[in-house]
Amino acid sequence: MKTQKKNQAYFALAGAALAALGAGTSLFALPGCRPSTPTTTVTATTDPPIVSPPPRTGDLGEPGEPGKPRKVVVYEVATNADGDQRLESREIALTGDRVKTPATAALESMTGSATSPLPKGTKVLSLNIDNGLATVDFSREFRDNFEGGDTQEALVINAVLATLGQFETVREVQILVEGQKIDSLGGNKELTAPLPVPQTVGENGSPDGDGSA
Amino acid sequence: MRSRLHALDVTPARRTRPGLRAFAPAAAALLAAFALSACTPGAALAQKPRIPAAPPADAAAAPVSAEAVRVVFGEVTLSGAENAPERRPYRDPADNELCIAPESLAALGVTHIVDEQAGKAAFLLAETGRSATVALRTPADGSGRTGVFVPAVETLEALGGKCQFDAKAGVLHVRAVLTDVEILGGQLRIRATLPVIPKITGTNNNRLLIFDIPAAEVGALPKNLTLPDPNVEKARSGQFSEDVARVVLETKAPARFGLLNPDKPATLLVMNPLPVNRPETIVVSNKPEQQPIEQTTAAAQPAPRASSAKTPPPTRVRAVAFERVSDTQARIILRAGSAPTAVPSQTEGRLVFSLPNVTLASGAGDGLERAEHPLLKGIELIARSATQAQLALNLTRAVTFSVRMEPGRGLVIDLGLPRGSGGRVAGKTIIVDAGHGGNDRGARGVNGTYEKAVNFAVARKLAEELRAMDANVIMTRDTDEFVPLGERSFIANRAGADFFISIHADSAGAAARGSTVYYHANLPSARTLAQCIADRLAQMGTIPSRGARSDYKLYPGDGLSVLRRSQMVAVLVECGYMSNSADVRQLVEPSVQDKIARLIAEGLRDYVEGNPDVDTRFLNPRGRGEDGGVRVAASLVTEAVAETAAGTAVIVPPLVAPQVP
Repeated sequence: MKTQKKNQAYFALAGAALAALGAGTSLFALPGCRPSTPTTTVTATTDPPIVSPPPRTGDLGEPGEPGKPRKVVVYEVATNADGDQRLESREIALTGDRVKTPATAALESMTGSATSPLPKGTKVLSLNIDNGLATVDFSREFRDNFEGGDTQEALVINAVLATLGQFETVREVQILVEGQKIDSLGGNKELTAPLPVPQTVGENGSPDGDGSA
Repeated sequence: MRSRLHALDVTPARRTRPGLRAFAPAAAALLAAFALSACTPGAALAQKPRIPAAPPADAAAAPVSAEAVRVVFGEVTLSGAENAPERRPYRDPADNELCIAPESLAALGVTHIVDEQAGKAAFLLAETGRSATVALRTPADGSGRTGVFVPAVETLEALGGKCQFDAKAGVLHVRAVLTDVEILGGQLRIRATLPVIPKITGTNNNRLLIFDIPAAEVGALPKNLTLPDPNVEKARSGQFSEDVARVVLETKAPARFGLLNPDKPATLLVMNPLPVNRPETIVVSNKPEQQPIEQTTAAAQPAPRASSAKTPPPTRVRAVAFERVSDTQARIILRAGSAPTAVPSQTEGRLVFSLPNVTLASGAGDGLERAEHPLLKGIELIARSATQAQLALNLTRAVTFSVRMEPGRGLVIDLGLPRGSGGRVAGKTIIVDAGHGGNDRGARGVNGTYEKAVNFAVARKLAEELRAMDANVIMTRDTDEFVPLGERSFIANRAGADFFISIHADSAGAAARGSTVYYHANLPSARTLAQCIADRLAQMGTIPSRGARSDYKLYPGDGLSVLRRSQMVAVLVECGYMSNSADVRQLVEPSVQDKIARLIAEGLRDYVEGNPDVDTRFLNPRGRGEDGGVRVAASLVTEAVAETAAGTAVIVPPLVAPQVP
């Protein structure tokens, strides 16, 4: 019982602690390359990760007010001459008459075209954010219309993580389909537990620690 | 009577019927179908189970009959609805079966449905997706029990628990089993088969963190855990007492963790890092060692790239020293006041560190030509320009390396034998994981072929190749069936395997082609194995090799779960691209599949035994001439010119950018 109370105290302070550490920087994460302002392109170096950590631009906010467009960062798939694919960010302005939150609108904007990372016809059924955990419930098209491999699965998942990760209130994301947890989208990346928003990675996406000697 | 059963000793994929074992939605659908088709009016569906905070007050009350037993999960007694005597567990005198009322399992978060007509009950632990369907038991008249019961051990073990019956005391102990420990996104995550609450304590000034999990067994977790986090010194697991499993984390600087949901038992325990200098929970002074981890370990971490706009002045390397630590370990130290950037790249027989921003003192490499070690043919320090140099190590076999900055010493490069190498492939336990399967078809090839078929064909051939080397091979699936990702690494961990090789094929733009071998994060042994296999796959000819890559390229800071959660040396081979017409034409050819399988097996053999085409000296010679053995050289420390550094070196620039090939 004593421990439970203690844990409760830890938990109560965890939010304040994270805030104090600054935008979710964790004790067990490296100070990394989080851009302070939204980037519009991802510069490809020798062999960069498939997506850069998202820019963090304030909270999720309410649906846009009329006459006050809200800018959000979304992603599209870029393919180079070698056929390699990666995500490139671009900023879009959401008009103020939307009923949807900017996060929902941003996710739903990433489907439909040839360079859209999300599977064709994907709809966001609901999006809830509670204590840093964003739970996004996609329509069945999210899974049914995906037939890609590891790289393409990473493009979809990273696009979701980075898009939601741009909102400072989001630290991790749980993906659901029709209200249910799924094992994975395409059999490569486990979705049974929340995924952390990539925030802090070393150069070229690799961790700077070695893990073991 | 089975007094002690181990459901988890059975491959989970085989444990329950197909369709039941798969996953929560499937099991939920099963329950729903069950409810619709066969539900009797008496059927009960427990909707919102909760775990009692404390055992019922009368849990130890006198049993109503001689066969009464108790079923306990830690401090929680699993007894029938409202502790009604007629719903308490009992031992059937006819066959000694321990029987429990279905609703008793609600305390574990298990929902159930009873179909009296069919004589069955279905259970679902939604958190893990495990389900069980068991035959109903009806207590004999005069037993003091009413209603229907189910066999306790069969049900609980199908749901992932471990049962131990203390016949003397008449108590069935139910325990969760730990399946995973990982650090993900800075959080510590422990998975168990049944919902538990850990107790967290920090000692040694919060450098030693202890996670005690009551009512749990440590299961197949290895004693020494591999947690690829720069701030974790060591991680271990063990059985602290019969009822308590323990995970211990040694960190490089003070750290604390708090449970995300401290009051809710869970099968996935997510623990967030907390600052260590909070007077609310622990009395601390402002001593330097109790600074947050970022500050105390700043010397071992890179500065944020975003803020380092201009190139720092070149680091002056005063000397390069070689130390023979043992026959299987060597150390090279670049003596410098601050850490020079070193970018490693490894190819067959050669490990090169590019030093893009250094100046070399005159005679800095003196004496290196005398360095002798069984792992090394030679060391060269080459000046490329006034501010660029290269440290090249010519190797006798594949090695692991790690790089760190030691204040006062310089940049320390440790070489060693990779985990599980130095012996023979024969006798090693190797998990061959054919990606996808069943409903999960994987990537669709441009010719209509699905990835799962290619993976399975290559995996089966790989298993044959490895068995021909006398390895003990376990396949995560040996037919076209769905196996959840979590179970794949679980199978490997439980088997205590030496290696995990997952077979996949990728898909991207139409022009992308070639094979890629992934390893997790920057784990040295996995990186070396991936490189060995990638070097072999470069011999394919028809499918180009794209080399070895960290899975952090796909998922920064997270990686692929089958690699992250496997505790042994693990790699994932993408044999080619299903989206490329040339690749996929090759991938469906049995002769090409044979060759891929053979090259992967040879890559593993190169890692374990050495590569006879490249390596010159073997630690375990395979009868290749007289000089095949170890030449034991005298301990040698080469100390070149010890020029005093004028630099003050207070701020450590980016230490190493371990270049992922």
